[in-house]
Amino acid sequence: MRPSDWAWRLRDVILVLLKGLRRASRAGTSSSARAGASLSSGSIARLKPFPALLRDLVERAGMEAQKEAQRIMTLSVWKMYHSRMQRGGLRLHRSLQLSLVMRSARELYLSAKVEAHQPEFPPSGGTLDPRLRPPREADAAMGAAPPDAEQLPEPMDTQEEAPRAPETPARCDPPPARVSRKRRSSSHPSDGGDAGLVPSKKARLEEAAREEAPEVADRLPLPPAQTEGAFPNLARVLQRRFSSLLNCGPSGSPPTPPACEAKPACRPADNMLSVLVRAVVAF
Amino acid sequence: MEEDIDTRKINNSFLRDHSYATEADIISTVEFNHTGELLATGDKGGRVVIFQREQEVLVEEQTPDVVLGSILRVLKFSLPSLQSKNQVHRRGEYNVYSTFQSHEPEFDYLKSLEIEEKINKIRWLPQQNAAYFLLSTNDKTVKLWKVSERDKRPEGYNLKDEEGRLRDPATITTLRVPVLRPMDLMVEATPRRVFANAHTYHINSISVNSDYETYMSADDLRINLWNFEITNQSFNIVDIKPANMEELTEVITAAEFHPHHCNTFVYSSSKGTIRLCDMRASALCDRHTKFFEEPEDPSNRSFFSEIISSISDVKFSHSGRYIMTRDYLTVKVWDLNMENRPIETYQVHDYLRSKLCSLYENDCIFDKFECVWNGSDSVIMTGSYNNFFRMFDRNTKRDVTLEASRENSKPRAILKPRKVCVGGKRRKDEISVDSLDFSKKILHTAWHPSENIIAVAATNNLYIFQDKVN
Repeated sequence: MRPSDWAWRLRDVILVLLKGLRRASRAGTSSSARAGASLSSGSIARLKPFPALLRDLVERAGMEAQKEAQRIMTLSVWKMYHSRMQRGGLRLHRSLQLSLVMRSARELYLSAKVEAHQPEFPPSGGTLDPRLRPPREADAAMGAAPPDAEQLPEPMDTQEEAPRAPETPARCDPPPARVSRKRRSSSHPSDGGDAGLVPSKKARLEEAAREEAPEVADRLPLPPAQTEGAFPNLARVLQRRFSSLLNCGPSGSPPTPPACEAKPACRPADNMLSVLVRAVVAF
Repeated sequence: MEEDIDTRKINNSFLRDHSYATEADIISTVEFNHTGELLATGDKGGRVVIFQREQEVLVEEQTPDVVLGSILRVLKFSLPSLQSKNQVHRRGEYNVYSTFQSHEPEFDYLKSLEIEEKINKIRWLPQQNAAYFLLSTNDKTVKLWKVSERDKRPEGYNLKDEEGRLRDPATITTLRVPVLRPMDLMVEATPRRVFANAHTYHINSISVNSDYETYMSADDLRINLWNFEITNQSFNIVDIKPANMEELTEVITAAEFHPHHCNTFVYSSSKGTIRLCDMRASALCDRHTKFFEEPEDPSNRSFFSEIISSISDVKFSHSGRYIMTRDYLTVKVWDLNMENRPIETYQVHDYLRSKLCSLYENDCIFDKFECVWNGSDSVIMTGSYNNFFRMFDRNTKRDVTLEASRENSKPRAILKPRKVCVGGKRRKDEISVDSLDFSKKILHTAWHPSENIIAVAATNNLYIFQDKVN
């Protein structure tokens, strides 16, 4: 089995984590030094290594999943681009499937990024779980790009929905303007209806520095339908999207308007996150 | 006829055999006609080849190369080159009957797109006179072909000589009436109707209605109803194109009319759902009458779940009570009366579930497999990779994996069941999942409407198998 194949299996990820725990408990690792700092209680000396270990493993699994997701995204974009060249033109069904995979990969990539930062939370017991899980599920599609990492602790520390809520409209107002401008410039004939959806789906963790164009996945079925030959737009959108993905990391506008019902691909990431959150909390 | 599917399939003949693989020779559709006398195949080059079964001649023979020992009467399909000198009569052999170029590559100037000539589907019309009619379609155009025989020729014209040149009137002194004289059989195919310019997207299926007057053609987002006589108009009966293409979530992948009820049809979607529509309810059947969907098993949820749940083929049973759907890993049989889940689910190649990422990379995950019923709806068959095809007996719940390959089975030999091993221990004669050849895939198969004869298309080779008869 290829390493890439396991990256998508929740069960396998958990097994890896457990194996790593067992291995570390036998051998002892250097991460115990780092662990001590993050834990509040110093009396549980033996349990000290575990959270840090878990964090390590989570990070490693997260990075692996992140790399895989990025690889899949690259592959999908390549396939999409090359499907233009094939005889018979762009196939709608194939493009739709590729865009679905791309969207799932993107969500996994984002969630992998998010949970990589997650272990930095002080495990504050019950308040962590219920707060984090619902917003996490809603924001699974959103992520913190690496340059935004330093801004993360700020919303995380508050962990209050109230202060976040007023931030959101403020933050969302400039982006929609930019987003809708971008939409228009990319010759996207849809009206501003989508711009209205953007704020409601924006992540609370999102930073103001959003350069992303709207989700390519939404856009991709459009060019073939509009005019079967309007591919220059598609190529430009793909290029822009892809480069933005590479440069500032994924995040940005919501992947789906309501028509694309409840991102089922989110669920594995959600499960992984919620399990990891619970694991962190337990220790 | 006994349907012991385990061991009794005989590898009969290789038709359309090519020793080298040309892209244009890849078979893209296989279809028996309603009596099973004719077998049509379409390929990527736009050609249609029709095979006809020879008249059966009762014969008792024992030839030296019969592998079956003391069995007297054996159905044998042999290649002409393997024919032994003792044989004079053969029984039930499929020979090439007609070949014609159905579709040519076209260019759509408005969209700057090339239209492939690949034949996506062939459907026969039931025979109503001496000629045979079939519908063949590529991505954009459906054509009705008439295949007729000519075995007599008029001779003795007054005004023309034997070569067809006009005679000088001054030399005509007598009057004679032309007479029909027999000639060598000539099979000619003529396009009788061309149904064009009705589809914006790529046609994926056609289906002839049981009234034999209409048929439907389905593309990714729309289904059109045609009358055979009228080529410049069609009715749109299903349209799932969203007003905003950004909201597109599913496409139509296959459609078929009910075998007996001319008002009922089903279409499958890329989301794994099937909709049954009744044309009596409204002119535009956007609202389905029945909706078949199985709730997803959350334990099987994976990254590629959406892709592999896309239904690639849907077929009514001959009785009209069941429908069979094929998605990437399974075949499901649904009862029309129960919408919430299929009555039977068969795993075709579940060992691929853990390989989905690799299959995505080599594009195999997008392969559209077809599935077929046998004449009595008791056995279903579908293809897989490595030139394997699978049969499932619905009554005994037994299944078998067979291989269509020349190397592994001699002509007239009984096919050996194959097995793919998934665990670590590989027994002899088993193939491990990693050594499967994913470039050899069987997407198209067909089953004779009444007998146990199957046609299996493996890339550019066509194999015909049938039961051994005692």
